[in-house]
Amino acid sequence: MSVFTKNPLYEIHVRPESGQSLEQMAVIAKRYGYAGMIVATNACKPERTEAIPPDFLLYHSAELNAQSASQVRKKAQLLHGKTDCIILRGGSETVNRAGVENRLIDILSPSGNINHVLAKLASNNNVAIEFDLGAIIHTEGPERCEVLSVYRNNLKLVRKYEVLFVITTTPISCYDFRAPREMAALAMLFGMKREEAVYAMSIVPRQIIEQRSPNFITAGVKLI
Amino acid sequence: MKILPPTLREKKRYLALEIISETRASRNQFLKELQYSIASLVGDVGLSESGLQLLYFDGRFAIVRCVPKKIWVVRAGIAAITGINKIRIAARVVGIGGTVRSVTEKYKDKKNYTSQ
Repeated sequence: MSVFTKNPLYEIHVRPESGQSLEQMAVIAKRYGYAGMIVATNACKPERTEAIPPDFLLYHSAELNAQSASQVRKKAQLLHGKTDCIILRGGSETVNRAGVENRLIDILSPSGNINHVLAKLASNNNVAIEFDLGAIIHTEGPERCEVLSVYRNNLKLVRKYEVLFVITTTPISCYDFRAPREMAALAMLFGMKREEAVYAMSIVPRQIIEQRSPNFITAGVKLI
Repeated sequence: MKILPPTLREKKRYLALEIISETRASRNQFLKELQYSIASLVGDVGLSESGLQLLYFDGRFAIVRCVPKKIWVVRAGIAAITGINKIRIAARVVGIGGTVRSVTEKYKDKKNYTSQ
């Protein structure tokens, strides 16, 4: 049994563009070997329809864009409890900092380098750092080089401070999905190990979703 | 002249690819895109080391040959393919085998790829 089939894998940051049917994306993701996906929509939760495979898990997340630290706190407070997962789109240093300091944020998607201070805080507050492999796929030349070096740096810090991390391709259509092994292959380009890639696709998403489920009380305590 | 003995030949693996695209691409277009994608990822040296060869292509299914050591590099190259002439396309490896025949029998015309 390979590492890829041991645990259920999740695509954690799906952002369907307008006109893309969620059903088709779910079918493709299922076929690629994912057990579920987290859909980021700013509106209501995605509706389950019959076309979506019955054993395919669908979760909802909210994407948070903020300009300042106070906005991060305010918006996170507003969204808390309404979704399965909150993803913060990082930007400036202060926004990233506010993100990793806030326990309500689940995933920080930094647009550039993180540093040791952010990594330490993220580790303490259980905020996962996102590696967007879509940026590797869709760019070329110097831009891709830049992305890879940023990820290499982030990975170094993430390993050192044992921060949670996730990998995704942020698919906006069904053509942007990549199968788990391809994700691992892309992650290996910046030095991630295969086992780490699997960990980022299976255990971390599971943990995030469990943490936000209504039955969760505190680490290790759950309402049955 | 004697043929090259099997012990001296390069080892090879065959990757079965499943392709999803908006409209059907031609074999040449796909091969060019694949080579370009790998070359832009790992450079011309990496592409030559991978011993890449496209053996079969019918728009939905393809068989690619490469060196066993470079499978993950080729995989990354395949994952980095996004489009051919603005037509969106995505490919993935459904299985790897040691001979063209085993790969064809196992993975061609199979709707359900459970094992990889």
